Amino acid sequence: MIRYIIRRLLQTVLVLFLVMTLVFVILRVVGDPAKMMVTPDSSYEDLQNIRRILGLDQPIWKQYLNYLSDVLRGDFGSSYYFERPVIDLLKERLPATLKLGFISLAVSLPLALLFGVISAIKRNSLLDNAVTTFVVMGRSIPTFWFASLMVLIFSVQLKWLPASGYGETRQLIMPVIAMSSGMGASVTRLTRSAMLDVMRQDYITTARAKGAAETKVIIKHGLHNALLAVVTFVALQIGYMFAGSVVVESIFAIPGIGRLIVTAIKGYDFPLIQASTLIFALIFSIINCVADLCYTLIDPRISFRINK
Amino acid sequence: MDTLLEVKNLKTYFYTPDKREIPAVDDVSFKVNRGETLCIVGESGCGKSVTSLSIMRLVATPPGKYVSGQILFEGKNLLTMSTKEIRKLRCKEIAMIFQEPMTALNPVHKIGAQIEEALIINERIDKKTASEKTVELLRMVGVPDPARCANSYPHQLSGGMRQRAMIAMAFSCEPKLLLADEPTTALDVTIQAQILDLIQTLKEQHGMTVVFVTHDLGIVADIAQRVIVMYAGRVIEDASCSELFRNPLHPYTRGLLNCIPRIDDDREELDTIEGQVPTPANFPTGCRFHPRCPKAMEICKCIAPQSVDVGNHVVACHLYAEESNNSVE
Repeated sequence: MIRYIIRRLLQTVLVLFLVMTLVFVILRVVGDPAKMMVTPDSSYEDLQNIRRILGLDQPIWKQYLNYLSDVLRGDFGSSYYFERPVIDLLKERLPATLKLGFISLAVSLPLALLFGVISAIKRNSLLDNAVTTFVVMGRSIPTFWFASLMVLIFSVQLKWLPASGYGETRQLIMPVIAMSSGMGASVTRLTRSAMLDVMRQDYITTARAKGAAETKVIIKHGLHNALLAVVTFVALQIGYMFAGSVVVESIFAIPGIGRLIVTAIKGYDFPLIQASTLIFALIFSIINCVADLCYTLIDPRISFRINK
Repeated sequence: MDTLLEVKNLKTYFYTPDKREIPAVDDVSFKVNRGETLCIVGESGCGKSVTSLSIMRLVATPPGKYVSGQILFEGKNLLTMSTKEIRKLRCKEIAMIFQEPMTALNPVHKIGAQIEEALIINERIDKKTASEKTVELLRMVGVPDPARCANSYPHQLSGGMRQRAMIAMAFSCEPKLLLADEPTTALDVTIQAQILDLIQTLKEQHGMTVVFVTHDLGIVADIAQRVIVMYAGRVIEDASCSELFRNPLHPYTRGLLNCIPRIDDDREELDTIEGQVPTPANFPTGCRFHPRCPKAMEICKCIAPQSVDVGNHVVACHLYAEESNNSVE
């Protein structure tokens, strides 16, 4: 178990390293922040001057080595735009993103499992059809459109909820719905199909033949097996959900990393982009790590030793 | 003799999404006496598994439906019972063993936990007593290291061990009736013999009644007191085991018995029954065996034969309908 975790951690470090390198190289290829900082009437010398101050005049491999050694010492540099240490910005912004993410997760996951199971058990019923309709909508409507629509209806027309902002519980309602709809829909659909598959298995008949009550058959024998398929999928979906925070935070003006990253990309703010993508990569890796551990707990056929 | 189970004119049909009717079990009747072993024989798709699942009320409804008929267990009709009542009978009075021990055990729970569950539900005992009794049961069904087996997951055991565990589970509450749905089909021959012996021993020690579903006539000859032969959802012959093997009446039964090589055989090639078993979705009209029957007559194509009793030996074939009519006259 401990060996497995150590192994996974090493893999995570490798993934983070690759993400860092890739982002670093791509950034150097796509644009020049110095050009964003000069006014139209500046001279070429001004431009070179800014480049020198930012360290962008050095060869790329040298920049990269500097960056790596800084990161290893815990120094992520300062934001060009905010002119503050990146680490401070992240510390400020991370709580909002995590809070939004975890509330969305806590709302959508139980509901998705519940409705997935019910609609599999009551297959082709009115409820199942209603659930399926919502699933199709949730999966196919883009988040930015759905979020704007909600603002239009509930804030502009009905004036029930504030259109944007962060701090009050009321201000979280629409962002949470926008964040969780896509994931909730996907997980519902997978749970439904996994349950349909599992409930046809022989061991379900065996459980019924034992005299077990139907709810017990569904949860203990059915859902437990259906979860095997769902867990891995949920982990990936959580990753996508955090990626979706970029859109949701921008629309609802939530001071989280998602919005920070948009600002950073707009301004070619290299240190900030590098650090925030790293944070997203870290969140994604941790979630996948946790999912793998859950998987081994749920399915006895997968043991830690396979990975030796 | 005392009748434990009587199935009367049972019709279990299935309905496809486009509302087509599939008569998987069509007007099946038979009786099982207390302490007897009844074998249900037939090819794949003849309705023998659905018959046994119907007795446990385990046919999924929908798509299945118990269209009509009665299943009387100790005089009570199982088909009209509430779900709660039937649940009380399951395992405690009527238990079942399935064909595939590989898939019939839940892959994510330990063997011990699965057997304990049956005990806890039906005997209302606490977990500790249940786990002690589980080890005892596993020892009784001949598992060499019962404590370790109880602590294993299904994928860690061999097919034979898994089937023993299934038997231990089915036997946990000492049921009066054991339904065994091809319990040895998925096992190799030596393990088959051991499992059959085990079922026989348990049956004799505890006076259990067994309904054994199989397509293996060798097993039938070995364990059955009575045999019913099913074809395409119907019972076509019902007789005592010795009578059936000595004097098979229905052309299908004769065909089946001819397919088996004898030890003193000098045939170069084994006999076969021409044609294919019809699928339940399109059973032929009249006698469902007529397209394959060597003795088919005109009447067989349109009218389904009634069961006739020719002296403790029931057969559903027009050949004998005439005979009995004549003898009545």
